[in-house]
Amino acid sequence: MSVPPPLLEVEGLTKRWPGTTAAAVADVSLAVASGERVALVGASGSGKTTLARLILRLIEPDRGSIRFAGRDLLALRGEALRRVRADLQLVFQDPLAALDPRRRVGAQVADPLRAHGLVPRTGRSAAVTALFERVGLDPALARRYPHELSGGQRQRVAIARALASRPRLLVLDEPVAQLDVSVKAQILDLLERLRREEGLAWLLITHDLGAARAASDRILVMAEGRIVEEGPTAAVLAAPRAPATRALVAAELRLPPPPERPDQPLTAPSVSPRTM
Amino acid sequence: MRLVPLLELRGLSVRLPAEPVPVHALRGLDLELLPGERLALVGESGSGKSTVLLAIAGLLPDEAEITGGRRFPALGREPTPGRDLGLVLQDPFASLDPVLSVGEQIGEVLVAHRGARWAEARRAAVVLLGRVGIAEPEARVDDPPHRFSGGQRQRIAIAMAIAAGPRLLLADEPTSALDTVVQAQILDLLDGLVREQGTALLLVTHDLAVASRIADRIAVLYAGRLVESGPAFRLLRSPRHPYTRALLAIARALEAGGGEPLAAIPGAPPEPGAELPGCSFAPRCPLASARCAEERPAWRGHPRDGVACHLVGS
Amino acid sequence: MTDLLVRFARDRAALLAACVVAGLTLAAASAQLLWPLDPEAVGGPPLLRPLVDPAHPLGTDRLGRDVLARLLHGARLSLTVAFAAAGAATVLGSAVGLAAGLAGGRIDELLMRITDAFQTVPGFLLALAFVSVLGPEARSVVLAIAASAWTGPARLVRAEIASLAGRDFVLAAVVAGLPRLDIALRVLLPNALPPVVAFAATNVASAVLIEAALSFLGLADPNRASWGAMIAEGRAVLVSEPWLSILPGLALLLTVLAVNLVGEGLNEALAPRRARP
Repeated sequence: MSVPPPLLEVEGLTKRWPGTTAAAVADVSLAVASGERVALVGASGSGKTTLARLILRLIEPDRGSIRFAGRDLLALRGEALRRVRADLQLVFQDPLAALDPRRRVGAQVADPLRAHGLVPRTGRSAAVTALFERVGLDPALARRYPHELSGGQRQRVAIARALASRPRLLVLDEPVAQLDVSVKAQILDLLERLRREEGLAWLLITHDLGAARAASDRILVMAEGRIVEEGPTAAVLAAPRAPATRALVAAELRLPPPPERPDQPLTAPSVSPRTM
Repeated sequence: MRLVPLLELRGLSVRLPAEPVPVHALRGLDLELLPGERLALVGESGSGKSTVLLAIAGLLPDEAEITGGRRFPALGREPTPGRDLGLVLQDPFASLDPVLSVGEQIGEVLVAHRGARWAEARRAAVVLLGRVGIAEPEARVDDPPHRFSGGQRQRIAIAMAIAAGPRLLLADEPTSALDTVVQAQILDLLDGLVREQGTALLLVTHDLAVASRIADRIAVLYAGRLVESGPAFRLLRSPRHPYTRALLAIARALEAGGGEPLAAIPGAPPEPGAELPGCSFAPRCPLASARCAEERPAWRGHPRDGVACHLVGS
Repeated sequence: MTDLLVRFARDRAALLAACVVAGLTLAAASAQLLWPLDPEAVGGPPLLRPLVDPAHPLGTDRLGRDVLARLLHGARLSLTVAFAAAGAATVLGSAVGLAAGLAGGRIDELLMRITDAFQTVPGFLLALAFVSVLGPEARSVVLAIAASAWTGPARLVRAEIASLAGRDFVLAAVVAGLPRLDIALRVLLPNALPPVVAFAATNVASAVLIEAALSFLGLADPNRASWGAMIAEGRAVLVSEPWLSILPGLALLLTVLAVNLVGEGLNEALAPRRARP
């Protein structure tokens, strides 16, 4: 009986920024299987974003190895690295910063299609329309510039771009941190629907335990550049062991418990749909 | 005997010039705040929640068309920002001067509004830094803002806002740029300070969980109008307006986890320039009837505990 | 694009300045039609004062040549030389800056050393040297001005590229898998250029001044009317007939001011747009 190798396998990854004493990412090992939802949580400054950028090969590690889909990612250069990016995508925290202010958003969603030669030139605008519809955006918005969209619309555009090349792994760097609660819920629901349809896996980087609960089955907790706790999301957040995890759980703002019979308001008024 | 409110907004409407159409940021807002009361104004971006704060502080741009009134009955005069009103913004960088030391900036408030001398202002700044939880305040008072972390800068901004002992503290998403751990610390700090000083707090946020941590009363704003307001315990336990219910359902689903869809509210708020004849939430409301789209719901119940919805029996 | 024009037009001063520049350009281009007197021909009594003779509304110079005709033809020369020089400097400088910013390492260092070398020599001195070697034709004046003006755009583009390189939307283009050349031309260059375009307007203004200064010193083509040469000629009778120097001086002032204001307006209009709240 052979276990298939994980989609992403990171071993002993270390990165220290010049001029600093402590490593931003220190000896991190983690794995994400095909189709798996993994959350990486930690306070700001814990090294989460650096780790994401290391995995995407946007910065070079000092030590360690990254295997993706059975290949040594750190050995890839030039054209081979460019090609592998079709399968490994990143959604940035701030969609406004991640979209080119001087290009229409439709052209930016088409970037991966053009870069990887996935759709012939004549079919591109139809493909962009289809992508916009998949993420719940009016295709007419493709002609707008990023600043002409709302925060939620921009993040949908960024997700459409990340999905264009049909990746196998999505690294989501705080994809909902800058969004209102109602928009956050829409984006998390959208991501989950797309994941089921596409069979993709993700590594969700967040400091928001609500987002981690909604969008992961396994959780990694990071503090001072290291993974300090790991396990099933529900179990880890219900009974945190590492001090950093406990601090995160203790700091989470929670609503007072709902009443026993949530549909019966305590005070007189009642909602009577469509009968008035 | 009725308490004299500290702040009273009556039918406040604000239109801001914009391209291509002017933005109707507030559409007739009634709100009152008692001395020492802690009110959270909850709404998503575009709801007009930040405009409310700017209007109260008198900081709206000159081109803004303002109708309706704002009064400060308990104060009996027009408030002076800095002395009677403290302001804490989302981004502490926006309120701190990068070249002055934090002590000078806090001291400046005391010199300007309390007639302090510079030497005593600096001593007071050290005390204030200690109160907002900056460790070793004597050593840090002469540091410029960039020597502090994001959470510490927000503490310093709070120290500036409360330096002159204002009656009302206005806070615009003071924790949404901070991570979870720091967010809770800052909210607890604000909570402690306003309790100690008896300062009234108007906190603007998009997050009901933030509101629940600190507010006595919550007012929910949607597309420039109040849709519901009430004591925090009532509103969080038995919300009446479908929008409040939907927001709470999402927040509770995020707390519970478990892989179910979050039942997000479909669609988006109306465009900021749009004029809807009926209830602004009707296009997204699962319970909306024809009447909701045509007729604007009147406020039902007490001004301090009520709802604007046709579906709520009176 | 229309968006840009709308925002530019909102700045009243810049709009007015743009109209002035357009008017000057049009007047210079249609000098023959507008005022069909030969600027080099002796057409009237010498030293006729302005607003005296309707045949010569701005008077005549020491040789009896029509001042209005000379001003219009001078504008043609000044503006042609200035626009050509600023254009050449911007294209050359942007290419050097882009190459340095993208290549990095030794190529970057070499290109920047060359830029530094050009920048240490005062622009006017460089122009003087060029013209005295290449001769006084308009073409060599263009070359002379461009040779000293390209360093500004080069440094500006390089700095812009460097600051853009770490921005999220550039990283996003890398993640999207765009080839390097695509990223350079589609993403980096369009975002780096706006300040350069605005800077080019400043270059036009200084080119007008350098051209005038070269003509004033008699280093430009002596057979063509030019504002600088007119000021130089008026110098001999400055005390008795000051308008001969003042009129081309005013034209020069107006042009430089207007071009600078256009540049400032462009800078404002091209600034990254703010997101709606």
